[in-house]
Amino acid sequence: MPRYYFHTHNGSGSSFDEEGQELPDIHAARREALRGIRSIVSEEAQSGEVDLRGRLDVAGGDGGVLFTVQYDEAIQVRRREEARP
Amino acid sequence: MIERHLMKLRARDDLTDEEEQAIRSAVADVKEVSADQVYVRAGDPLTAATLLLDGIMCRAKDLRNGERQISELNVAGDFVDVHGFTLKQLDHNLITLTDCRVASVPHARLREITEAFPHLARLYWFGTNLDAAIHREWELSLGRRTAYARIAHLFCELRARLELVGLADGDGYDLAVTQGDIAECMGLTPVHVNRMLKQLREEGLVEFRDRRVAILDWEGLARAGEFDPSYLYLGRRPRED
Repeated sequence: MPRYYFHTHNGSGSSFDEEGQELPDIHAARREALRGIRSIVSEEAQSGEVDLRGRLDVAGGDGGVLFTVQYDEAIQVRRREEARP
Repeated sequence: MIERHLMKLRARDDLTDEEEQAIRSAVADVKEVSADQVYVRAGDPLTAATLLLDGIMCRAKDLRNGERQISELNVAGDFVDVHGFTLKQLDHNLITLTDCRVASVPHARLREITEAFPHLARLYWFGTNLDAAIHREWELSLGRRTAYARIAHLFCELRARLELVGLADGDGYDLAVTQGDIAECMGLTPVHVNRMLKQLREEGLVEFRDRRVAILDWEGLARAGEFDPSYLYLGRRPRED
């Protein structure tokens, strides 16, 4: 199975994944990226402050970035409708 | 061969030469098991208990969607499924996380030595009670600690347990598990674990890299994880016959 590396970048800096994970294919890598972002954001929600401006780069075995998932793509936020003027 | 197991017992209580000999003679066979194998499967009938001589094993339960929860890491010297002696099967899998060396102790022999030496029966009962205490502490982590504190706490626990069997010191210890394994222990994801490891490293508390946990600031790490070792019952108590 190919190995994928998940590097996160957000307001508190960048975190590089040196270990990676063996996953069946790129679709599984995307699911893992979404799972990872949701895990981080869910804990932020508990602290009362969520920062959705981060991104997660998924790299392949040669180090090249295969695709990027923005944090706000991983979470759907529904808000109260803004009061109309 | 079972030196680490004896170290673990002797850390808390005295063992007579006869008792030591009885334990040694109860070991039936020793084998090498590669990493990531289900060594005992939940529900399989059991006739022997597993003594971990080298490596890291874990107790784990799975959901149908593939999510896995590890409920305890076992280190060298642990009698990993001594509870199976009375249960006769496990409600969880026993998995090797690293290459392991394991010894098998037939239940029949375990019965003989615990009946011949009631003190050994109490020591092994203590062992299962200790496992329960570790499970309670993990429950506290999983239910209430932050991701950051869970990981800090786990590194503290492993230092204390490995130190008891001569495999850790103040500088740290070897730990050939993955970020994914830590995620499965602490109810997180590998990506989240990676993020928290970075924070712990940047704060100068601990560094987990190249299969080694380097402790940079023990006091700070213990504070970050609210680690109180009393649940590990590390103290030595006078022998009661």
